[in-house]
Amino acid sequence: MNRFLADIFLFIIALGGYPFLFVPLMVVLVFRFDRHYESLVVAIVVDVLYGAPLWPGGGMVYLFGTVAAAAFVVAQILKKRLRYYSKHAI
Amino acid sequence: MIYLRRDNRERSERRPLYIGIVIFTVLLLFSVFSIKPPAPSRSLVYFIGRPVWALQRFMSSVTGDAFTVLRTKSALVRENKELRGEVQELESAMLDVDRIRSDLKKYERMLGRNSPAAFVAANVLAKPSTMPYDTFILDVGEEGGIAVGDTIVVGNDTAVGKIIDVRGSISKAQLLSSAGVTTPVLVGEKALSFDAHGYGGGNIVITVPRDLALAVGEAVYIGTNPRMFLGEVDVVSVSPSDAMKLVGIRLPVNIFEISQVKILHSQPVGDTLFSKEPDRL
Repeated sequence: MNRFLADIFLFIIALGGYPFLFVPLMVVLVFRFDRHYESLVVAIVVDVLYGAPLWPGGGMVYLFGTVAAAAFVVAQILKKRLRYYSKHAI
Repeated sequence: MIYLRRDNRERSERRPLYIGIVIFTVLLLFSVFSIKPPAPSRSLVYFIGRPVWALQRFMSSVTGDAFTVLRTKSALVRENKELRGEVQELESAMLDVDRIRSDLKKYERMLGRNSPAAFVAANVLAKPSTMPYDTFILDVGEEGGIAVGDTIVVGNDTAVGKIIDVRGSISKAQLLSSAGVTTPVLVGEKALSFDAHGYGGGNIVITVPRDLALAVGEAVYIGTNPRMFLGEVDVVSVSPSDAMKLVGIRLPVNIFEISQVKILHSQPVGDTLFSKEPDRL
């Protein structure tokens, strides 16, 4: 239930266009919950929705999606190595 | 058997890591090769976004009203007086504007120029003010005759952006101040031609030769037909070691407060959408 509510909150602030809230929350949720694929989906949605070419002649950059995927990968690596996650399986 | 079971479990634990790496690589490749997301996915996210933007507008209107209730009567009276003064000033300025506009039309007719403006009004559904992307989501799309490349105008002739994506009843505009956007502009009375570079967050800068004299307040236009106003020369930054100087442009509108825009068609379309007189055969 907590995960569901957190996902809805993440979704609303992401689509509302508040990256100063969305990016930290996304990183926290990736570390807090196991296999939090929703963060990746929401980040890609933000890129598709608001994304624009960032240099002349095209240049579509998936900024939030790439950051979310990097955070997800780092979280997966750290979760295997940190003792906290082996004790508190979420 | 125990050995095999342990192996399967490890593989299952590693799966999210592999999925994350694959998604990261795919997004990186998509960014490097500038691959746009497929059209159905764009339609889907616009559809998903609508209720969130409606909720956002509702919340901002509710919170705005709540703060108005908390204000004192004397503050409201003071603000009312100030606004009345501003209205009087604007009314007198409008008299000049109407006269200048009719003069301009007269001169255009004398010069044989016919530049019918084909506008469509649009509401701004979302303006991510703190996003690195300077984009607007507008509530008019293909159904309203909008096409990629149409200009976004505020007021009479102030250009603020261009349409970059169009769906059925929704469209996305990129602002001229967006990072990486380069716009050819004409500066001052002599209409000197330069490129204006967007830096995001409503900032536009022109790089000009150091010796070129530009006064603060000189008008900057976009060299389109009809000519569009972009802003005024605001800040000039000169470094003693550089041969060029940076000129900041002040936009006449605050892009974060824009709620309605006009879309100027590159190609006039339809006959109910714009103020152009129908062509006579």
